[in-house]
Amino acid sequence: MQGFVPVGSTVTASRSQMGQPMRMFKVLTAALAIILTTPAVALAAPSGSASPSASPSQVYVYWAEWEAQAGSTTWVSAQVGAGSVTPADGSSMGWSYGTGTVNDGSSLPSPKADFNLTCGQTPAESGKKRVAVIVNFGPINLAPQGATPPQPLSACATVAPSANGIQVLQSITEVRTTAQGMVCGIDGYPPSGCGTTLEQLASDNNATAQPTATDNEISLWVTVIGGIAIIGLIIAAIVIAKRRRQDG
Amino acid sequence: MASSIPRYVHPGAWWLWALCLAAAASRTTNPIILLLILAVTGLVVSARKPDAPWARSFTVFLKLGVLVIVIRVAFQVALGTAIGTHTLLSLPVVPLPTWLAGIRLGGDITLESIILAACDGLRLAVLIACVGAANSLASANRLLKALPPALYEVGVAVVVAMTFAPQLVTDLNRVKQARRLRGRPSTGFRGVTGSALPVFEGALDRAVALAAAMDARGYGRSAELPRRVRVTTMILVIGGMIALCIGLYGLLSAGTPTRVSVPIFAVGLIAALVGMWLGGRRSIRTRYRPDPWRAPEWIVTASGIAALAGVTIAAIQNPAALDMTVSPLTWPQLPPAALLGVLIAAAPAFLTPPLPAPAKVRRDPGARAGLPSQGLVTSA
Repeated sequence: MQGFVPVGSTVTASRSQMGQPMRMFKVLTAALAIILTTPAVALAAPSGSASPSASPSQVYVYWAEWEAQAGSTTWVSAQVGAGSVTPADGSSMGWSYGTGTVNDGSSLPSPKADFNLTCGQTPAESGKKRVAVIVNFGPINLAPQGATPPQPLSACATVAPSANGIQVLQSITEVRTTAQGMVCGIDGYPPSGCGTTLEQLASDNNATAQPTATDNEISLWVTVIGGIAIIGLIIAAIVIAKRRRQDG
Repeated sequence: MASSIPRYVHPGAWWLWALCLAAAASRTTNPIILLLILAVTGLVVSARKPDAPWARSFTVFLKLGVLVIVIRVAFQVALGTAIGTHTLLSLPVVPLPTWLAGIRLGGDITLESIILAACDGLRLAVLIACVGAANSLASANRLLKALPPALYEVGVAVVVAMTFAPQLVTDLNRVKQARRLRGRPSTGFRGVTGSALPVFEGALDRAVALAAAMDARGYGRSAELPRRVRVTTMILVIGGMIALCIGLYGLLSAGTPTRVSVPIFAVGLIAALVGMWLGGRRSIRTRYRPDPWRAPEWIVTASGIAALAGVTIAAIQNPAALDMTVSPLTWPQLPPAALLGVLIAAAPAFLTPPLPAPAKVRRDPGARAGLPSQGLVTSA
């Protein structure tokens, strides 16, 4: 009758002595349960967004950035991130999703960087600059499971003269970036993650009958309930604390 | 009902619950999920926090979290790249050499980059708050009492250090006051270096006296074990702990594949447990009224697991909802699995036994108002 013995009695003390290894066993069982829950749940799903550990033989698949100066038609691989570069008026910026090797011609945003072809129809506005933006979403064999690469995008961005490369891209389409300014997804492709490897793509595509990494539709009501729950919890905490301070 | 008898919950259960919540918070930068976890920890702390001075540290951890967010946003504003189109402020750009590209001084400050930095900082702040909650809820003394026998001596050393740490502060004040009376500098560089030596001397004297007293009372006696067993124990425990750290880092970080981290963690755990059981045979102490581990402790642990499982399931079903999207700037979405899991983690506020009544101090009838009481302290 463990539950009915008050804590202060000596009977409890001697019984607890005998139960000491049992208690340690229970603590460790609880810890093991926690430790095994997370990987058990995570192992049951494709981890398409895992960033790989360093290995020299791994080939990365990511958004590569290219630029072409005004008047030039040759794409040059960007040396610094798009967030640190301020493209000049009349220049072109390109993004292509792939393995990023310069020698592979299919990894360029487009065969040539033609500013007049992209921005010929857009009139120049005073006080703004025009930058041609071309996005190549990569071949189908590099697509994550369940997603198809959209058609190539080419548009003329008319932005403020001080806009950096990322702001130029954001004026045309939806961009997912990290806080440091690294481009993870353009126009919702790939749906999640920020760069991956060929091995990771292969292992994800081999996983059979798994739920894809596409978004399930989340009702707005759940978010509203969440907001109400936060406010309710905070109010309850304050009320409980006040009542305890009055009692004690 | 057994769970309505007032008693303290086992401190290990509180720490497991808090670490589960911290692991759940580390997987997401969605501010709604993070604020929900923070609100849940606040509720449980205010409901089950003991009435002791050391339990008031939760607000300190909250303030530390706010400081973390402020520093993170300040760094982003000062040095970060501009993301997004809602420009709040345009500062002149300080030209930097090209080998420092990636760092910007000045330039546009956009709303999106501030929001991204604030969400990053909020994640770290919620992690700190979870650890602070465990600190407030679980008495460190009781946690040390619950340590396995192999760590007994380390536990005693930590208890002694914690008991004497406030003494250091009192000593320092006393020495500084004495120096001020003698006309010597008590502040500044010379004051600090002059006050430090007497304080250390006093601390050392006290430590030696305490060691002699504890030795006279029989602390530190241990059973005779062959040297081979002691060496094996040490190797197993240290090697197991290192493997545990590596495996735990792999499990908590979303980047390392689980098939690498789980075996390392399992091996480390088994090695550490075997080493501790071997080393525990040296210690011949007995425990007085140890904390029980019964249904309320299982409830606390299970609610922590529920929060972690809820966020993990949300990461599988809606991976994009766990990140804060700023381009375009949209309201963050809350996956229902995460909402349910984190709300279950608030169960310890209601389903655990109530706290014992606080210690009442019986004052002398003849004591004047304002003087410290000299009554008996009947502590629970």
